[in-house]
Amino acid sequence: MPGASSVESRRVDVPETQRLLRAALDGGVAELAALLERMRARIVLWCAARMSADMRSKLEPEDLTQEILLAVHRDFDKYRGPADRPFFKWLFTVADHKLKDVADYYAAQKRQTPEPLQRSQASPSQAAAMKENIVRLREAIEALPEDYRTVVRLYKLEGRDVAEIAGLLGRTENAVRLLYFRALAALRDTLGGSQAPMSRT
Amino acid sequence: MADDRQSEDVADALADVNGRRRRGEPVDPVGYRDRLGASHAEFLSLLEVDAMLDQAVDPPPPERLPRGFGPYELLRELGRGAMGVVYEALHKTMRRKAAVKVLKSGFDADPQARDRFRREAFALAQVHHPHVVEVFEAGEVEGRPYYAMALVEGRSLASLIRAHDVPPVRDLCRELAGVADALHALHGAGIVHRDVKPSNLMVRSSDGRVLLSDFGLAHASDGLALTRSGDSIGTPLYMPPEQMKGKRDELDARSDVYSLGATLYEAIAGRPAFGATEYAALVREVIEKTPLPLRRVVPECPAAVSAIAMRALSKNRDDRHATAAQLRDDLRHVADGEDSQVTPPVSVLVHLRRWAAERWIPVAATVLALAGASWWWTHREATLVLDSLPSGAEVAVDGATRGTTPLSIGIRPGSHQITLRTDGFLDHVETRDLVAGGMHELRVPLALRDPSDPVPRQRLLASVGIRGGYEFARNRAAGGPSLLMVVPRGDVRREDLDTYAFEVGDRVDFPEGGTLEFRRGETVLHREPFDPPTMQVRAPLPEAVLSALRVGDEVTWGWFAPANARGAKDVTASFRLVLARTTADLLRLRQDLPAGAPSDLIGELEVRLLRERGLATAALARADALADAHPDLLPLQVVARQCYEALKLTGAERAQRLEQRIAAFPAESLARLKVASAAAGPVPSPTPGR
Repeated sequence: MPGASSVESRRVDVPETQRLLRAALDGGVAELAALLERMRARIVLWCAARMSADMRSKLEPEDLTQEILLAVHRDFDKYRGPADRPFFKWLFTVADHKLKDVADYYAAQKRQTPEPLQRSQASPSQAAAMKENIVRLREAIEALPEDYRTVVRLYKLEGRDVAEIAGLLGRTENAVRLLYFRALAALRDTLGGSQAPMSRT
Repeated sequence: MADDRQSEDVADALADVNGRRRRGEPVDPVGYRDRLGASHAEFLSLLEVDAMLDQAVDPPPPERLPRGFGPYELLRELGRGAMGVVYEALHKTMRRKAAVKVLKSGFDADPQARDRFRREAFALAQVHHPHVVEVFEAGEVEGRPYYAMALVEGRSLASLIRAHDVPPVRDLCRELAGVADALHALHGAGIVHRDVKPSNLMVRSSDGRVLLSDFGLAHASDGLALTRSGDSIGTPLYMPPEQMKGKRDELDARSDVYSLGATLYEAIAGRPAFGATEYAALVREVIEKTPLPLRRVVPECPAAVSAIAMRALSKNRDDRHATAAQLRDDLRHVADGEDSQVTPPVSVLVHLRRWAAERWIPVAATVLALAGASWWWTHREATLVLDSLPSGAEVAVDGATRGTTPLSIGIRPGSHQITLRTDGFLDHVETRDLVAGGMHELRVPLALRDPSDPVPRQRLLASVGIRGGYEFARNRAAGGPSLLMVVPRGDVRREDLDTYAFEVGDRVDFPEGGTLEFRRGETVLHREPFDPPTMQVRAPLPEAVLSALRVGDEVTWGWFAPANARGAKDVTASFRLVLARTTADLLRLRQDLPAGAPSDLIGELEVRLLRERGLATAALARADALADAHPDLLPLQVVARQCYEALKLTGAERAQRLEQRIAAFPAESLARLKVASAAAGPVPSPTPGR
């Protein structure tokens, strides 16, 4: 426990995301690109937690992620402004808009054409390029019941704190902590089961 | 497996870890062990999943270590764990390749992490053994601890098992006998590995030798297992039941025997000894279920090998090989084709009986094993666990040196004279009768030889560790309502008090209401009506309490039911809030101190503890009082001066008075103190610019 050294340990390096964000706000183009690339896995998992099964049957989370990243890149200038606006909050607002756009698009398509749309051709390579562990996590998250997916998304991916999530979900903080605990246990069992290479009986 | 309350404890701990990470504080998973007890293993396994998520969405930036790192040139990253990163490196002058493990940034400021990292290097370096990865050196580069070890070209046994590429049984037994021998050497040096498993055994490609690696968990820690690709997540597959149950003090040589047995089993069977895929079920199996005898899984497996594995896998550690040396001997017999030489194990009998009982098959033949077993039973070794304050004392048994404390050794039963010896302290000599197969503990506070000698004194001071943190306390009547409170654990810095809050659990239903009270001793600091429906969320500590508290106060904090309430006795709860480690903990610490420790040493310790807790002002007050009370004791004057310096008050009138007193002592005494302090490292101070 770092109790004795908490002051010292606070001088640890600035987290990478913060560093890139600051540089990007200062106009660093390379840093903005690196920042967006850094967000990719986070957004993929977020999409996995946020998209309905129906939506996932039409669109890979990786494809939606690409759309979101493009939107974030395009709108980044709008984010510039007050110095310490929470970046994730803005990022996932953009993401949520994009997700709703896409959902509306498919809803409209559905009305027009009886055939379900083919999954996007855009980026099987995107999916392939994703690291194996991200893909495994994405699949494990997709397999979670909805309330588990929600708590993982809010807590881990959107980076909200327990009190805020309690407010959003209308539960006590204690219940939120327990929910996250159960979500982790479910993830562990899914990952452990799919991962164990040994032929278990 | 876990009941509700355990689940809540683990959930709380997970949230706590996440909170720390977000505040940029390093996290030491081991620190939750005492709080979680038997749930600690569950917590660790979930923490691995949690860390996987973090790693995925917020990967640590590539360590911006210079390519040149001290005497090494870092070539590439080989892997990273919870606390360390391992690089392939080239020694610049020796032109020799090595694996260099560096403590992660963020942990380099945490004294406990540094200490554990050093112990890991130390554990490896204690044992020069052909089956242990060799350590070349350890050191620090610009404050970053590291150690360099031999680079092993090869694959882990885990990957060989996956590839169905395990050596033939008898060859495997010979190599694992070597590993058992290495473990025995480790145990002789007082180190329990605690994390023996296929992925920690490297099979060298040049000669097929199996090498023991990864001492990250060795010794006094059983922290977060590294998540390696290919490992099952948070696997308890190789953990003995006593570790699973969180019985830390029961971990000894026989725990490693179990883990090596589980490894042997898996290598031969091609699958782990336990089959459950769901974590909770797996834990239950490890604790309750006897694995299917190896021969039932692999009929061609020699009976002797099956017997060895099953004995090592005994639930009760008394049924296992008493030492790794016994396991080594049995494995060697098999390797040499002398299966009949394998020690007749009592546990095989027990296993067969249990197995038979489970299967309703009478096994009359087991009786034959009894004759051989009784000899072994009365001659098996006893285990002696030794520790001292300070640790690092040399241990001699009947005149023969066996290592330094802390130490766990196998020893033949009977009466033995045990001597603990270390520079600057009086020898401790004691005679103990050891019982066959017994577990004996000896913990000795050593007495200073010369209380005025600053060097051992600093060593004693430095050996006292401190920790603190948050915890959730709760009181729950059986089947009744619950009351949950966030209370500080240990002591709290005054400025951190605002972050504490009280919170009521979500199953509360007290129609009668009650009173929420904060008391200091008998004095009520604050009292307010307790109305459960409106109190279901977090609330900060009332201002009336915050302003009333002083450093050193102990506060009782609880809900007190009205006298006429139903089940009033059941829901009354009180929790103590200790603001500084001046009372209960210090008293306990004093009991740990050797008899005859001088009062100035105790005083210095108190001041040191206060400073380490960040209670600089309290430390100053205490040090100042002590310095005045003992103007003839130089260490106390110096410590008080340090406190003034830490607060930048060196110009104060009272600080000047200290200077005058210190100047009156012979310069030589002061020099001696300085030398000792330098040797023991600086007192951690919360002031910036330390």
